[in-house]
Amino acid sequence: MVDVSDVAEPVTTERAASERPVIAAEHVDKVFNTRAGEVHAVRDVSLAVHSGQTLGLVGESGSGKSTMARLLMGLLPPTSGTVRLDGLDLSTVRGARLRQLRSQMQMVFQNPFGSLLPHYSAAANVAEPLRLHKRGDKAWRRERAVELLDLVGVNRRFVDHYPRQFSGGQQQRIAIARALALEPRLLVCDEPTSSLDVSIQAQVLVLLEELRSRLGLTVVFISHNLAVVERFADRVTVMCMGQVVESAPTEALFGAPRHPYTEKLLAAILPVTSDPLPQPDISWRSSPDQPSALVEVAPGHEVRES
Amino acid sequence: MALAEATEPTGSIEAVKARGHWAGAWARFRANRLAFISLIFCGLLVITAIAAPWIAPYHFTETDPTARLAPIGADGHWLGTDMLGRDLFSRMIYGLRTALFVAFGAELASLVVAIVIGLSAGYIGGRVDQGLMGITDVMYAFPSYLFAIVLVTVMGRSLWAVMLAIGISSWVTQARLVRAQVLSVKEREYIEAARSMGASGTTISFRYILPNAVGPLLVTTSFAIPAAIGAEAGLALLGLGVQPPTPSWGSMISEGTSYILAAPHLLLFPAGMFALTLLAFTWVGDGVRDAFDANGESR
Amino acid sequence: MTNSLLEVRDLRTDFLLKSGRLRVVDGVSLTVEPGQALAIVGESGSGKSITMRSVMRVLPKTARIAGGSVRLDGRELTELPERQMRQVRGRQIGMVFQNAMEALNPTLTLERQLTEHLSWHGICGKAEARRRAIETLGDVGIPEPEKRIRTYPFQLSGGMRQRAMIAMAMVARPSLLIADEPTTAVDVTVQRQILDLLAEFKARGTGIVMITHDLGVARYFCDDAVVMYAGRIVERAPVRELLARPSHPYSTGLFRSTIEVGGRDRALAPIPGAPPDLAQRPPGCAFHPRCERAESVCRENEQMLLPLTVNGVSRGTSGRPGAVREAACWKVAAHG
Repeated sequence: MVDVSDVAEPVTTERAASERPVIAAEHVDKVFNTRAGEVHAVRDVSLAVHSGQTLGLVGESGSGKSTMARLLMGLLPPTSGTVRLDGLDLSTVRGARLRQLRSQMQMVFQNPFGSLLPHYSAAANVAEPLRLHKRGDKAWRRERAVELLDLVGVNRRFVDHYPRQFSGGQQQRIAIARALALEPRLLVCDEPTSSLDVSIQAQVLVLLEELRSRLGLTVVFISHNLAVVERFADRVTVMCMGQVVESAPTEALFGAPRHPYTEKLLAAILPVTSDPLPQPDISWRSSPDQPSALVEVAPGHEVRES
Repeated sequence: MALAEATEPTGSIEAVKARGHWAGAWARFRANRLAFISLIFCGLLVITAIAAPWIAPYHFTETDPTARLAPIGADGHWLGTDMLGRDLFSRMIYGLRTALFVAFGAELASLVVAIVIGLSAGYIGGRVDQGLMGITDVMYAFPSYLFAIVLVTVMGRSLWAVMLAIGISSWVTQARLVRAQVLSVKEREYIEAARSMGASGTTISFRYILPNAVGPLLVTTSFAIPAAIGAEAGLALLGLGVQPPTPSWGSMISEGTSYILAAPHLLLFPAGMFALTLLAFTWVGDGVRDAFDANGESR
Repeated sequence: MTNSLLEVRDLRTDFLLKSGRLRVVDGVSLTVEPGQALAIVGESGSGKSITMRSVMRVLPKTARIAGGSVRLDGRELTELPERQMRQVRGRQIGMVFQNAMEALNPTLTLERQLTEHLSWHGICGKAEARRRAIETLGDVGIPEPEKRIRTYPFQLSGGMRQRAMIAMAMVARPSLLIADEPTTAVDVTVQRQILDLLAEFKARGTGIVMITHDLGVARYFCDDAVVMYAGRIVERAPVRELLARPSHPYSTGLFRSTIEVGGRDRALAPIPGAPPDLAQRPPGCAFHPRCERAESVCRENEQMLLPLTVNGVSRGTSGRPGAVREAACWKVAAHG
């Protein structure tokens, strides 16, 4: 007897997976209680990233973009709303199960030196997630770590050096290798190049670009640098004071920005080969306490009413 | 491949050997000549204390009725004897044993307590933190000598009572330090990175936070050891030390003062050794501190 | 010879290390005219900040000026006694930092900091100082300066703090302003405002040296640029020409590493490797290990900073007097 369900099931799950976003936030709010009172860091943010896509999350300091990254990673619980990884509500899993789930989503931080364990060598840093998730034995993990370091361009000869012995760019490569060790589906990059020198920034971006296409990664790329996001993302979400003000396919957002804040951001860029755009005369002030609606002005292009 | 070629490391790193946190600190410690010699001296002291029964020519209770208050270089007693005819050299070695046993025992115990309490308070935070730090603050406010007096009165003048009395006043500072270290390390990005890799609380505490807090802990411990040696002698001087005839440098010094004219060596040798030992341990502490300080500012 | 506002000739600065002297600024020459802005472009460790700190003589304890001359309005600064140098720093040179908290005293109000600065240097009396402090705060775009002058630095937002620091630098009306990455720590939307603000001082005749790693900032704000690598100037040019036709392979590499909006079609071609550790400075041209055009001559000898020529004629600059194009590269000079 042939078990039909056994054959049929992979097909349906595969189709479901292609339709279901890898990571999705639905009406997420985050309020921090600080000594100075409540800080509403993220307000009613919804977003979804499908398999193999890259979402750029853009905003200035205090826009809530880094908080959003930590909410997506399940490092912070949302005050309200849900974050789903492959359809699974992260708030319903806890403890060991949540830690298990983390193997599917990894993060690259802004400060590479700060994010590496200082008392572990490069290879040990990369092997650490494998050890935490009990993959293989020690020798295998080391071999895998060396392979990964090779992949990101850290020479085999230096795998036993400690993080502080590497330059900033090399440290970020090690951090990227570590993030890739568990073969995650989702990579969240929080300003991965902003602490690096210009010539190194480009190296790291080229590396991320190449790894993304080679490994078919789904990426959330957080940056204040619109130029980097334009280059890297399929879709861009602009955040301001915890709210999404505009969200659109990259070309639409850069070609025809609709929200004054997006225009302001674009005009703030100082290009290298041309003069900057004229500053928009409309000064837009967000008033997050009187939230306005996000309106779809074109397919996939949402703008907050101002 | 273009990617690999683009990322050949710069020449600078090649000249440097892979060197960990510890290796760096050790190299700096070794380069400090005073600290290194002190460490060797302290090592010899520890070996002497452990091997006391084999090194000391007499047992500390053994009296030689034929030679009371014998001078230096007397027959069979090359440092002389005390008023009961006990060999001064042997008693000093056993006194060293008492001092080091109490000091290391007290500091080790207080370190363990401090790590457990400081780590839990710092890592778990919230109510646990408030509760544990509340207890610590109360202990901190309590005068340590008073505590020692109470303890010795209740438990008798045993080695353990003295050890406990010294250890109790020491863990408080250590626990606060551990907590402060944990709080500062906890905010570092690599802890968040570790969480995002799926590390559990215990893994984070013991594998990631603690090793990075060890440097400062080692520094205070290496200063706490001479302090404890001093405290042991101090308690003995007050008559609160270990029960005679077990020798303690403190009681030997106090006895020596009574014979300062008749037999000055009874005071000079214990006091001199005591001072030398304290200095050596303090210099080791200085070396440890400098070794780890330089590490802190690396990169 | 006419006197420029700032004229630095063959400046050399060393760090005194246990292992010996380490040259971090090596033969830097530059000129700034009143009302002009010069960009010093380079990555971290290129010596760009130490160069200007040598000019102001505010170096770390382990650093020494090893030689060269610094003339401000024709007056030699390197040999000035410290007392007089302090006067120069207060009255003639202002400095703006990356991080405002570095320059402002968190325990004093803006009023005290600004007025004390004026009275210490004996520039004017108390009442006048207060008037000028308020005026300068207004100049830097701080709203309600009469009120804000009583606040402490930490009570201001990041952008306002940056403005307050600029006010501090400009309150004595210095003729030269040194700005060390003044917009790196501020938000993108604030960056342009700060630069526009500095441009007003420039228009009033202040000479400005802008230390930056951002070619976009250099292009927007500056007239001329020098590119530094491993403590030396590798290229000098009017900034727009530098970006239109970079000559030195390092400048070209920096340009190609820069990502800009709308530049998606421009291939990103990063410079391989990382800037050298100065203690292990490569022989010959310091850039040769990262340079795709390097030949044996580059590995052995260092080329001087030479004017760029086309068929023996100085390569066209915009015709502005004093505008020069120079590069320190065997490949460029040889092809002329």
